[in-house]
Amino acid sequence: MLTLGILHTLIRADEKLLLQAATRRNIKTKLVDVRDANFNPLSYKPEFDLALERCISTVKGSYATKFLESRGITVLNPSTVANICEDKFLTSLVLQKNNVPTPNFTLVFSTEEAKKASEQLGGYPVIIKPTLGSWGRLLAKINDVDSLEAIIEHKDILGSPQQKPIYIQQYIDKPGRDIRLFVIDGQAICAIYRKSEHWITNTARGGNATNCRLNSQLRILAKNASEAVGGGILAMDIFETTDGYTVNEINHTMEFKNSEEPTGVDISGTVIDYCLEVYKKL
Amino acid sequence: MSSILTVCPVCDATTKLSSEVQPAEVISCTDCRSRLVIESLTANKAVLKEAPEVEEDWGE
Ligand SMILES: Nc1ncnc2c1ncn2[C@@H]1O[C@H](COP(=O)(O)OP(=O)(O)OP(=O)(O)O)[C@@H](O)[C@H]1O
Ligand SMILES: [Zn+2]
Repeated sequence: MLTLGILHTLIRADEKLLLQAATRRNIKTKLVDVRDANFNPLSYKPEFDLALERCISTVKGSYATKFLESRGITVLNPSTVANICEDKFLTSLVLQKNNVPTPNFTLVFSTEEAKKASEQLGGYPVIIKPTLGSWGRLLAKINDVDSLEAIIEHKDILGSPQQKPIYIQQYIDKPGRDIRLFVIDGQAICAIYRKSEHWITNTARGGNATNCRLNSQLRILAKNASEAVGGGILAMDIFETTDGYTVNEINHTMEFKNSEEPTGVDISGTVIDYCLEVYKKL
Repeated sequence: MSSILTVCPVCDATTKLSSEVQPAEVISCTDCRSRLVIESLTANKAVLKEAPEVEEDWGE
């Protein structure tokens, strides 16, 4: 019988839904607060057979995953997937390489290069965002060269080392919404529209979620984008453009609590079923 | 199982917790809406503290 380890820091409504889904399936769970962990390989004794990584802290989740994998424990998502998805530049690179549509992007380290690169991307507006980070934090829509200079100077002087690489993306003029597509093992299970008056549509920033019906294009995109990053449990941010869908980024520890109700899909149950399926194949 | 009574560290109101809460769980105070975390939990006692500020590497 599977005992599922849930690696966590703070426990949100999402983790509660996962715990309830496991209980409904008679799957035992072991909550592992990685903030209290001691990852010494000589003394560590896991009390679970498979782990689901649900840490809010990307850094802690990433180390926990790598440690457990080194002890021979399977973690969902695997570090190979997490490594790519936690970094927006790596995600863009992998998508582009695998011919999955994604907005044009670049990475530079200086204001001079950023100016040239912005022109090369088609001119203003462009988007600057941290390569690591989420919930729409520290995203900047740059409308002209003056704001480009100002933002880069601020990042340079006030930012942590992680803010030094300048990831620039072409701005996509969205129709007041974007799509969050939930994908498990290459299969699209449901999607929501995130609507907002603001160009940042995150539900964490007040965006509103409604059901988005799946179609064959979204299913194919889900499969291809999932293969590109290595599969697993993923939430993809997708923009609608006049040339079709384009994948903005992929999240590997997805939040879904606001999406079960509008889609009517048991996302937490599907995640737990997938964990069980992976366990049976071990 | 019965619910647990505890005190909000922000507004001092008595808050009733569901019996299904877990240590490290984020909850909202029913009175002042502050985001709180269950710091410690025993059968009939829970200690709450204010939820931490968002850190740079937090996200999905
Ligand atoms: N190139 C872009 N063009 C237009 N809008 C964008 C672009 N990049 C991001 N956005 C918008 O900004 C918001 C956050 O974007 P993104 O997903 O890249 O950042 P994030 O901080 O990782 O958020 P999430 O928590 O959704 O992963 C989204 O609402 C998205 O629609
Ligand atoms: Zn209160």
